[in-house]
Amino acid sequence: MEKKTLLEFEKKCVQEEPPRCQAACPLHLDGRGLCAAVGKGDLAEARRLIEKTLPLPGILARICDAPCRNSCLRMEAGGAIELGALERFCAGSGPFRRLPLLVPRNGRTAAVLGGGIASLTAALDGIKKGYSITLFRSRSEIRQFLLDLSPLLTNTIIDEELDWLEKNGTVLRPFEDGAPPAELSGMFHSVFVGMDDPAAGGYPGLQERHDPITLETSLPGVFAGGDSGSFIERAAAGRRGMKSIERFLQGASLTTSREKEGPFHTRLFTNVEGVAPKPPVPVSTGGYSPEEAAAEAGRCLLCECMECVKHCEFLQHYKGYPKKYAREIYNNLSIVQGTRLANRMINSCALCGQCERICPNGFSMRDLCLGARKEMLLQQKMPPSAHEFALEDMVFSNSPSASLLRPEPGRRETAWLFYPGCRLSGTSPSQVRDAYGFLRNFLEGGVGLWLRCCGAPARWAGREDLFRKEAEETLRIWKSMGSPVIIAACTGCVDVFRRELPEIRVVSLWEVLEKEAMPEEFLKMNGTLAVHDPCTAVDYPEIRRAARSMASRAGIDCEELPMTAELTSCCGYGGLQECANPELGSATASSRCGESSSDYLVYCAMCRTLFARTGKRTVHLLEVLFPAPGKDPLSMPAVSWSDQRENRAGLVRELLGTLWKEESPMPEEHEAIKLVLPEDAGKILETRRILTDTVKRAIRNGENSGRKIARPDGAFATCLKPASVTYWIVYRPLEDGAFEVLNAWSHRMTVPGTEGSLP
Amino acid sequence: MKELLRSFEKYRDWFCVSCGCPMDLKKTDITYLGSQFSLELPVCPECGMVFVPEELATGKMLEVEKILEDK
Repeated sequence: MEKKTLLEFEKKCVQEEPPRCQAACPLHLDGRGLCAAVGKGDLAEARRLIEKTLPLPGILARICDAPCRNSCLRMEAGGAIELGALERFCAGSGPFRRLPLLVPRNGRTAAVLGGGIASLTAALDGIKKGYSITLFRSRSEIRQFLLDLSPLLTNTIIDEELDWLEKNGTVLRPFEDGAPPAELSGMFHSVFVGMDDPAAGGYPGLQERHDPITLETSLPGVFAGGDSGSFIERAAAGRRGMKSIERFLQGASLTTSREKEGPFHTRLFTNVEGVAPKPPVPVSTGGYSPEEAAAEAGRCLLCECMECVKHCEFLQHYKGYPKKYAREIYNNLSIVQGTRLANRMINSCALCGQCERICPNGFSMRDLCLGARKEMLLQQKMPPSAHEFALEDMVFSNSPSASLLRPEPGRRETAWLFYPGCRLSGTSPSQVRDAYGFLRNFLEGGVGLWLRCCGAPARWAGREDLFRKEAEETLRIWKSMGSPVIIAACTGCVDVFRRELPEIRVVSLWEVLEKEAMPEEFLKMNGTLAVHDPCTAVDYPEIRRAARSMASRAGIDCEELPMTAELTSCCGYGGLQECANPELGSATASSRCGESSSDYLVYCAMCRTLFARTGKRTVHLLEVLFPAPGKDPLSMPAVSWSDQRENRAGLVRELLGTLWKEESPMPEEHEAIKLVLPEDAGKILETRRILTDTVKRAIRNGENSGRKIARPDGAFATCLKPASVTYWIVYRPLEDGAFEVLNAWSHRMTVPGTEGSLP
Repeated sequence: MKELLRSFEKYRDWFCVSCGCPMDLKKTDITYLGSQFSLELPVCPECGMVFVPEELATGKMLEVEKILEDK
């Protein structure tokens, strides 16, 4: 990834932008952090935050006039946070740390003229920069000056600040020891004049050419500021002046990059929808009590964006937000030697695009993660295990065992081609058969059937090479059928065709049914079901509408989930999330299923599978329209990976025989093996993604070759390495010739002496 | 890990069906993505057939596979 690309991504995410109070504060006090600390009762942390930002913390925290109030997002919901009162409470709650300065003097000198807040701030910042500072006002003069500012200040409070200033090298001298700024500039390297001290501000040459950004005056090397009614702005002027002095002494530009020094507009977005109004806790003369302070701090909205994170299990799982992830992914891709910690994260994004649609600036984790996957493949750093299972499944779907292309039985022309999609043929083969029969009944011009995978897994895996190959093959076959209109039952296939093969005219099965006819034998569901839109349908409102329309014709009262239509959440299968990170895929499904207590209606086979696996009562629209007799689809469990494969192959065999009167290809030898699969062994196979087909092949291999190991109890262990993974199966031959499967596991490491790896 | 490898002693009771010999424990070199490790695994002393126990394959071996895949 180019650095420029990273910056473009980063710029879109506003989560790290400061909250409004901090941006509006002339000194940028972190009001959000302060409220969070006070709310938790962590007053030491609150004072640390004040001390970190405010000069003269004991003074300023007590008399801060809080200009941030006008920007507070709470303003519209009860009233702005009383941040000034909270600062005052914190200052009175305990001592500031007053850590000693560890900055060596660097030989530069600066004079500060005046005893007000601007001058004291300038002096303080000056010593922090290593300058030798002489401030022309005596302690008693300063005391008097500050006591007049506010009844909240006392000699003790003022002395504490002055003690620290003096202890750290500031020299205080009476005002009369000083001289006009023009003269002082000859004696010191630079001069700051605090205009909030009338005696200091009265000298000639300070008012003319007074630049509000640099605080330059017409006198070379003399900077002046602080003539404001706001105490906090006076302090900010002192800080700005000393910054200008620093630049002046370094010979640097006085003007560049100073936009964010004073108050600025923050880009942080905070959603205030549903925030209940709450008035501020009234401030009594003595200030807040600890309880009052905690209550007022508790009103703070703790402004942050996190809009996309709130709705995405994946974004929550990695405990960050897109800007942070962009940096992690950039770093991950830049690693030459070492551990690539973000690999799994990159492969866990569902690529559903929900974040992009929620984000005020359109940040797309899909673009980021898919781009990163492609780059990892180019670098040959893609973990082999990440997408292998899904890609092998795609290869199987497009193999002669599971794919099929035929014109309508008894017809030569093909105006339509029903394309149910590989997933649906695996989960609902009888519905695919019935839907095909129904389409043939009312559509004119011949309805062919095409069982195939559209290549979505390769596209999600970032495997451009594989995807292009599948897409070219799809296009070639489609043309060979006379370029018919494809009727796709899966929105994933619709999406792939429309984006990648725009030449192909594709309509959704739901649109065709909506326009043409309603099956007569549909399941009467009379009741409410929550509709979950698949993430692949977000750009197709016409399909979403048609699916709802078919559902309501079946008597279903459709409930809308909070995140629906173009903002829908993925079920956990999209982007091969479930393949690369099964636990997260399951968490994503559970989270989505928890959004409503109603049973769910879906119209994507994978959503059906992932939701049913969590135990959620879920029905696929096709199961409503073409119900299997005597079965309640809502209580049907998810179809296992193995059964999905067998269903696909079984559907091809069944339809070849019944519709086209063709012989199926001879089954392979291992297919004749009968397995007995106890429930626990079945679960092991499913979670470890070991197909019963692999089990049969391994047992056949072990039995034929005799390469098996006998366990003391008479069971056997045998292994098979069909490609990159070695599978171990523990089984027991039964008297009837079947084999009981007891256990199975796999490994990717190559071990000489196992099947396929001779010692 | 040492404890796990010691527990492989129990596989001396298992035997290779084609050779009829009980399994022995023998140093075996295993490889993945260019890295090589040596482990004492149950092996048939006659034909050299190696057994990879479940507790190794789903435990330490899986862990190391993941680490190597992220290198």
